[in-house]
Amino acid sequence: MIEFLTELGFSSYAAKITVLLFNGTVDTAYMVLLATLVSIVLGVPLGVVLLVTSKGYFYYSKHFYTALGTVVNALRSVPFIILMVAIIPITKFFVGTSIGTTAAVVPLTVSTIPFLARLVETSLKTVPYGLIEAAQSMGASPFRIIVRVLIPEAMPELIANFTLTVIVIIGCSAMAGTIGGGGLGDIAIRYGYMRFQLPVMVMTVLILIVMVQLTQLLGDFLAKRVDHR
Amino acid sequence: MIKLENLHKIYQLDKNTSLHALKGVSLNIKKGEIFGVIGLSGAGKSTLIRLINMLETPSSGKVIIDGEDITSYSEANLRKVRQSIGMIFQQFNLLSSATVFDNVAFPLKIAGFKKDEIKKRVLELLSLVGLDDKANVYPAQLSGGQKQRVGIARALATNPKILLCDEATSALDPKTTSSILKLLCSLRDRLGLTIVIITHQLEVIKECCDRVAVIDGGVISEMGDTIEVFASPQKDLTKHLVATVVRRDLDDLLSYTKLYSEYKENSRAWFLLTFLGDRANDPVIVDVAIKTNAKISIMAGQINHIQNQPLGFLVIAVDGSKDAIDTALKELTDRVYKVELLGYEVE
Repeated sequence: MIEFLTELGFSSYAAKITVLLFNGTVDTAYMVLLATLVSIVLGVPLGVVLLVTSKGYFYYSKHFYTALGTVVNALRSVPFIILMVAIIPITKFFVGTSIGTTAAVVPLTVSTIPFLARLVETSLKTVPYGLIEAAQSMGASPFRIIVRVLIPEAMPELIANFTLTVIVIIGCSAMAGTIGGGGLGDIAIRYGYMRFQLPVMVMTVLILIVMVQLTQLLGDFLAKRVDHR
Repeated sequence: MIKLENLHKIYQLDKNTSLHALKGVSLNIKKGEIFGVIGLSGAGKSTLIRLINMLETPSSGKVIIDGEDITSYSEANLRKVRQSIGMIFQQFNLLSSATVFDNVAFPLKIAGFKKDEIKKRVLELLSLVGLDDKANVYPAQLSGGQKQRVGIARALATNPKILLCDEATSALDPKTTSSILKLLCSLRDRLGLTIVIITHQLEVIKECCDRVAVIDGGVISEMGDTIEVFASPQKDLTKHLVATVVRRDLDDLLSYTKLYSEYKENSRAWFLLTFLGDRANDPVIVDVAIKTNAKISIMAGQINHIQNQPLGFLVIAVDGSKDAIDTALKELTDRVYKVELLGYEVE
């Protein structure tokens, strides 16, 4: 790779940095995608549980909802950087190490799940109650109402919130990089900050900006596609 | 078909306050009947209709559908019962994320129909409500009337015996309202449906209900055949409601003329005559005038058609001696549905 770039006329320093940034981008993308996937798989059901146990829904339970809500809020209150260090034993249990991109996915997911769950809960609450009632009047079970009515009807909001989640994860993944998580954040700290290589710092920031912009564009596009209101 | 026995519904708003929405409602709605429930907002009519398919659970009393007491049914059994009771809503409550086809298919999927059966049935239903060409359109692209037609098709998908209409025309303009009501009437005739309509619009009752119950403060205050209730409302609320549709101008007219309850020399007696059904076509005034020699002036008149039956109101003033007036009153009483003495006008 480096040879290829120097043949193209890159100086050996520029070639090295380009490869570094490329690998960092791939690492960040990997962390973000994996963390997003796990967060959605676990966060959406948690959001649904919050919804159905809240007041006015199928399995309303004041105590359960309050207890779960408190846990969710508590997790959301812990700053990511602290959470990341605090759950190192858990990370080690799941991944075997606390260093590297895969290890970084664990704290990313743990911090994102409660965040996403709340967003899912509020998204699903935007579906008019009349639709639930109509489905009930046809004899639909709560499960079917959630899967066939609430989620499809809230899809534009859900996609907008998934987009927001991805962007938050991109930000957190950069933070994860600073303490051994790899990716663009790691490069920005090691080269940009510790070795005073300002251009590297600027490049990592630019790449992150582009990632966020692309995510937002894709999210807006998809949200519009599924919106038939 | 639908029997409600002494239904009470109390909502516990919080620890200390509760709302007694229904206070002992009993109804017996017959098969194939279009039954209207009218009331002002907050009278308990929404609660009442939701008790029929048990979307709300009664605090006490019984809901009997087709001879079966469903009050004590489990949630799973209720879901089965609900598949035989269609419901349409004021806000239509269509899935905005699904096409017209998929909206109508939804109850069929719940009921476990096969894919090709669903397709056949949905197309059949769409043609029944006159929306053959809208299968692949999303609800947002439809007008209010078309949305309600989709709602009706959806409600009828599983061949229910009962159709519940929750303010189904309240969000529609008068012309669309009328076309939806005509559709409901024709569906009743074709499919033998039993239809329950709740509304605050008396026009709706006038246009298509066989019987009507007036609900006020959580109790049924008046009930009867629609035409009877229109012709002789008993309670103040009913009179007030009826006045919004028939004999609208009467109060206005009477406010111009001072009437006394006592007869004096040379007074004119004012009567309000109510004509109903076939007798509305008889030449009553001329007959009575000839027979009694009374001088009769017509002050105001109005004729309505309620379910194709004429219902007429006529205000007349009768000149003459007390005897002549009394004779005229007697003759009139024999000939029309109802005669009310409004008072005497002093010259």
